Parts: sequence; structure tokens; C-alpha cells
Amino acid sequence: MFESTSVTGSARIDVLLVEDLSQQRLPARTLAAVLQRAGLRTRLVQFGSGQDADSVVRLAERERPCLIIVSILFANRVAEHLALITALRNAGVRAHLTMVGPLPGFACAELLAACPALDSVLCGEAETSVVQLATSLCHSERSEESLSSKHETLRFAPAVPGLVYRTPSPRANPLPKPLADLSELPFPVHDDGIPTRLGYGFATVEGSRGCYHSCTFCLPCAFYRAAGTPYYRLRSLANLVDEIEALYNRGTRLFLFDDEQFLPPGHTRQERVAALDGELERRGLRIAFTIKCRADDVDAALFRRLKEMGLLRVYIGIESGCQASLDLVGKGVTVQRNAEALAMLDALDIVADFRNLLFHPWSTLETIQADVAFLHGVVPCVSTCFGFHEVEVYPGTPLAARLRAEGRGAGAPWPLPYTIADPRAELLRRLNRFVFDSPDAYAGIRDLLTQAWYDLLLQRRFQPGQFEPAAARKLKSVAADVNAQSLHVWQEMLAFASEGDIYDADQVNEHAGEWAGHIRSLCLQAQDEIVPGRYKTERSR
Amino acid sequence: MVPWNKLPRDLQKAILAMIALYGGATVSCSCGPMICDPAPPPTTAPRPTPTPTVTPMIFDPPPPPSTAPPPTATPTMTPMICDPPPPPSVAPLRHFQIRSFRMSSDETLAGAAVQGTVVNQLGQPLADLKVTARANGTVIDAWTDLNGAFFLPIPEPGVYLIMLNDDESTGLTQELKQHDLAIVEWVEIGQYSQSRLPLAEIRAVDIVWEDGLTFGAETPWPGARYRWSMSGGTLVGSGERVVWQPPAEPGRYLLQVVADWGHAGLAVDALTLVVEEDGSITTC
Repeated sequence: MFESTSVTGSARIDVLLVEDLSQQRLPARTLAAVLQRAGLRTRLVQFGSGQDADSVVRLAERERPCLIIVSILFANRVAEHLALITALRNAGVRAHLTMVGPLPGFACAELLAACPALDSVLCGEAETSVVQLATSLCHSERSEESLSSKHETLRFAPAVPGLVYRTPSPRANPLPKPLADLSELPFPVHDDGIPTRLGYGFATVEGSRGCYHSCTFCLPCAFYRAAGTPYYRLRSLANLVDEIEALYNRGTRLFLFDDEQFLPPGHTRQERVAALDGELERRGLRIAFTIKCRADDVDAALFRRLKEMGLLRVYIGIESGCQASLDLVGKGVTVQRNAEALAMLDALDIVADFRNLLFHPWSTLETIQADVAFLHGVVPCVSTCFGFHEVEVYPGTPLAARLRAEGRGAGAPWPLPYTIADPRAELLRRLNRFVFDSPDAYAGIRDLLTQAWYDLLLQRRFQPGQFEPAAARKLKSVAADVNAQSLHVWQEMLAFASEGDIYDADQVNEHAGEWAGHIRSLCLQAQDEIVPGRYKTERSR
Repeated sequence: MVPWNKLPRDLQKAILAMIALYGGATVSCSCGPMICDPAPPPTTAPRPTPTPTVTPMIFDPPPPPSTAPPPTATPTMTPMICDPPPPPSVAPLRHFQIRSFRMSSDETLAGAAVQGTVVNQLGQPLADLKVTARANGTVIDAWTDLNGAFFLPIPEPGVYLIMLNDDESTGLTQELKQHDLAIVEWVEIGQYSQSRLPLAEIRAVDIVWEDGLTFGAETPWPGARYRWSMSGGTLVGSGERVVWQPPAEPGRYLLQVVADWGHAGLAVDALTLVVEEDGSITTC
């Protein structure tokens, strides 16, 4: 377990911040920075997927903080975090236990109902209220007031904006005022060190918050709209580059922009990019970076410039190759535009990664067929393995409202459960999970290829003399082969769903086993191609 | 009487569904006929914590969080996907439900009226569907147009059952007074029968290398049928345990086992075995 080193010696800490720090996300790091700026002794604690809660519990017992904040990054890890909170309380930890994050903000009542050990949820932009909560708790502890106080109202609780707490029934305070200026935030804490790849440090940064589009599935968009913030806020460029420079001076060369929408709207995007370019140049910061964008952001001239500035890779929000599905999720782009964007990025030699949301509550065989047909068409211009995903419906989003209006989505909302009404589509969803959702097979190959691309792209940027174009061509060829063969399996699955007896378990299971075997064999070949000789003997007989 | 094997397959299934519903058959979904939490979303691999001995992974910038988050690192059990309850009878081929309903008034109406739309799951209009208002011997029909819209004039106020496609399960009963305008929107929720689908649960099975070249399958769920396959050499045996006779040719070979519980679930595991130049066998 990693623990931040900002607090050493025997001094007790005030706040423990628990998050899956290995994901290199910013919520806990930013909260830690805010708390530390306020003089509160704060420690970041790693809680990764599948990690035993014991190490966190022992740390909490040893440090006896006033407040433990659990930051939720992913919906499918909520249950693990609730189990951690329960374990903390069962171990006798007296700290006030709270949760933060967009999803907890929309599911606070359900979370409090599901986990008696959870004392509160901090809703809205927590940077503006967490200090007040922590300070009040630490002060209360000095005066021996119960910190968890599940059955009595904390005296100060009504004054903490955004706090949802027990009285004993849940009571929600009005949300905090949104941050007026993102540049007022301190830089996120990285006192656990900067991770490196090929000797180059990499870190996540954020130049903006929110988005000026309105995809119906998007949790951050729903979060910022509910928080009463402007839909889209930019940090000042000087402040952003100050942070980049500070990280650069610690060896960071690759910056992963976590902005929902890196490019501001309209003509301001050109100005912003030009200003960023100029400022990096002026300070002598030669960096590499990645961004997220939409298909309708991709413009040849703009992206050529971004590439010259160090753009290695783009996560592009393609989402679907079916127009009906794109319309349903409010994407506001056409299938044609999606295809053009991928082709343009390929022509610019910028690696694009994207996911395909094949499944949503209203999927049909036909929408999935359209998605697969789209993927067939873009195989030649995609350098990464396709991702076959399903839409997760989050509370607070328009998609969740629609699902619930149809009387669906009942259950714990992390995320809202659903069964696809079209049984052919539902069967394909289950087959997708069985055939493609295995970390040691298809998903593993996706990751392996991603890392191989990063190694190659970092080399191209920083050691161009050693870069071999043939290596890039090979990776692209591997991706094309994996994609083409995956789509072949998809064609067979679609044909079966269309013409076969989808209720015949014998047939379905036999085919599923064959498809899974085919994909595993494919992955084995791809591993050899990507990293020859990577696999070493682990045991022998 | 027609022998069972002469019955049409669909009828066989409907009868089996009825038997299952009324207690004659085992319902193999262990959490019962309810919709449970879905499995972790697919294909995003778990992110191992970087350690000093491993080159850290660079994660892609996260997609907007409708994204599939990473599944657990050791997927010992995928949460269940349960089927909807089996239908008590053969369900209609197309099924609709009311998405929205509200009452308004229109002084220009001679009596009352019902108007609205019918759309599919993607919000596209559905034409040529019959909308009916029925009350004590009065039946009034209208058909949806190309925009999925319909207008049903109700000359006489009264209590009406308003339904779609003559399917009462889609309907609602509403009192309509003079100048009342009922506005109803239906959505199609499925074109096909919702009998039990296979793959209700994705389970876990592990290949265990036992003595020599004997391999076993281990799973906590009883009653599985096993299907083994190997990309080279010969497998001897079946069931929970097989013996591999490797080929002479050095190389990597993939051993796979599928554990099959019929409708209830399915699991798969694989092991890569290496025949070295000296004939020894290793795994990687």
C-alpha cells in the first residue's frame, strides 16, 4: 500500500484520503492539496482494485485521523469501498467516514442506506467544503464529540455545504458555491513520486472542468450542471503551465490531460492552443501529451499543430457507429464525421483510441450490426484494439431519467442495472462479456498494445534518432489483425443471434466456448508480435 | 395426443416455460428471477499498482465516465445477470408500454379525445399500429401515421380502456369527460418473447496443473460439464481431469476448458503451455 510521505514521524494526521491512486487521477490529489494548504495534516492512501482493506484499516488505527474521505472514481468499485468503510468502523476506527465523487453525489441516499458505517457524503465540488468539514471534525474531536455520530446530529454539520448526513434520516445541505476560478486551486499533490515510463515521468493534469456538450450518459456533465457551475471552465493558461513546469522540473515529460473537453469552443480553441504552444516554447518545456476530444473537434490544421507541440495520442469519443445510438446518447455527431475523424488522425500519424458502446438499454440487433459494420470500415485507419463496451447508466444523467421513466433501472445505482429489452441484443451483451471481457485475454492485449504504443511514441518524441518507423507499422499491423479477427468473431455472433436459437443453452454455450478460444489464441499470437520473448517460464515440471 | 418430439419447438419451449413458472422445473438462476446488478463492464483491463520492479503503465486519459471502469484484478466471479421472469404465457410478438401520460383539455373538442405517439426503443416513430379506446360496448379505433402519431376522437364521455394493438397489458383505464384530451406515448420495449436466455451468469473456473501432464478444472459451482480443447497434441480423458500428450514440435500451445452449467452459467479458463526444445514442458 502506498502512503503519501508528506506527513512523517509520529505526528498524528488529520485526514486520510483513500483513492485508487494508481489510476493517476486527480480528485484525491486535489483535495489533499486543498487540505494541506489549510494546514491540515493529510495523507493519501492507495486502495486499488482487489486490494485487501486490512492495510488501510491498520493505517487508520495507527494514525487515528478525524476524517477519512473515500474518493470514488469508478462505479463498479463502489461495493469494494463500502466494504472498506464497514471494515474501518468494525475495527473501531472513530473517524468520520465520508465519500466524495460525482457518483456518490447523485446516489447519496442509496449509499447511506446501503452502508450504516458511512457517516456522510460530500456533494458538489468538494474542494470548497472539505476544509470546513475537516476543520470542524478535528475541532470537535478535541472536545470529545463523537465523530461518527450516526444517531445524533453533528453540531456543525448543517453549516457544511453539500454535506448529506444522518440525523438519523439523511439530511442534505445546499450545495457549495462552485469554484469561481479554477486557478485558485493549489496544484494536486504528487508526493508519492512521479511514475516513469522509459525514464520519462508522466502525470495527469487538468486544464478545464466540465463540457459544453450534452451527452445523455455523461456523469461529469451531469455533475457540473447539478453543481450549478458554468458548463465549462478553463484554468488560466499561466496557471496551467506553472503546474506543467513544476512537474517538468520533477522529471515529468508526458502530460495526460484529463479534461472532459480539452479544446474550448469556437474560435477560442485556436487561441488557447496557440497560447499554450507559445507559453511552453517560452519556458523551454518540450513535452509530450495526450488529450480527449470529440470527432467534430478533429481539424487537420489544428491537430497538426498539436502534434508538433507534442500530442502523441488522442482519446476520441466515437462512442458508436450507429446513428440511432449516437442520437440516443445525445452525441451530436454523425457516423460519417466519426469515420472522417479517425481517418484524419491516422493521416496525421496521431494514435487514436476509442471505445464502441455497442450496448445500451435500447440496443437492438440492428444497432449492434450497424456498430460492427462501422468498425469494419475503420479497421485500416485504427492503430489500437477496438474496445467493445456497454453504456453504464449513472444516476443524475438524462439517460438514467429515461430508463427510470420506463420503469427500469431499479436497484443499487452504481450503475443502474438494466436488461436490454431485445433478447438478441441482450444475448450479444452476455457473449461480449464472456468472449472479450477477460483481463488475461482480449483486455490484456488492449493494454499491452497501449503500453507498446506509449513506449514507441515517447521514443519518437524524445529520441527520434532511435525511432524506427517499421516498429510503428508493425504495431499498427498487429492492431489491424486483432481488430479484423475480432470482428470476424462478431460477425459469427451476430449471425447466430440473428438466425440461431438464442434460447438453446447447448448451442449458445458451445459457440461461446469456441469464440472465447478463438480470441485467446488470437491474443497469444498478438502477444508474440507485440513483445517477442516477453513471456518467461514461471514454473516447470 | 401428439408426441412431445412432434410438437413444434416453440410450443415445447412455451410448455417448458410454463412448467418452470409453476414449480415443475428448477430455476437455475440462484438469485431468482430478478434483475441483479450487472457485471463489471467489459474490456477495460484492471490497472495494477505500479511497483518499483515493474515499468509503470501509462493509463489512457479516462473517457467520460460512462466508460466501462476496470473490472477487478482477479475476476473470480462476475456478478450475475439474471433473466427477467419467464412469461406466464407466450408473450405477444411485440410489446409496448406507456412511457408518458398526461391529461389536458381542449374546448374545441365536441366530446373528448386521446392523442399521442408510438415510438420504438430509439425514439423512432412506428406507423400502422392500432390504438383502441373501449368502454361498455363502444370500441373506437385509430391507426398511427408515418410520424407514429394518432388521434382518437371520443364522442361520448365515459370510462375507457385505452390500449395499443389490442393488447390490454399496454393499456390504461381513464375517465374522459367533455373536452378532456388524454395524451399518451407508448414505447416498444421488445419485439420478441423474453424467455430465459443462456449465459445468465459468467462464472469462474481454474485450470490446475496436477501431476505430470494431468490438468484439472476447479470451480466452486457443482454440476458443470467440461469441454477441453488444446491447440496441439492430444488430450486424453474428459470431465474434470484430462491428460495432455504434447506434440514433438516445440512451441506454445493453448489449453482451454469451458465449464458449462446450461442456462445457469458458463466459465472459461486457459493455460499456455510451452514445449521447449529439450522436450520439457513449461507454462507462461
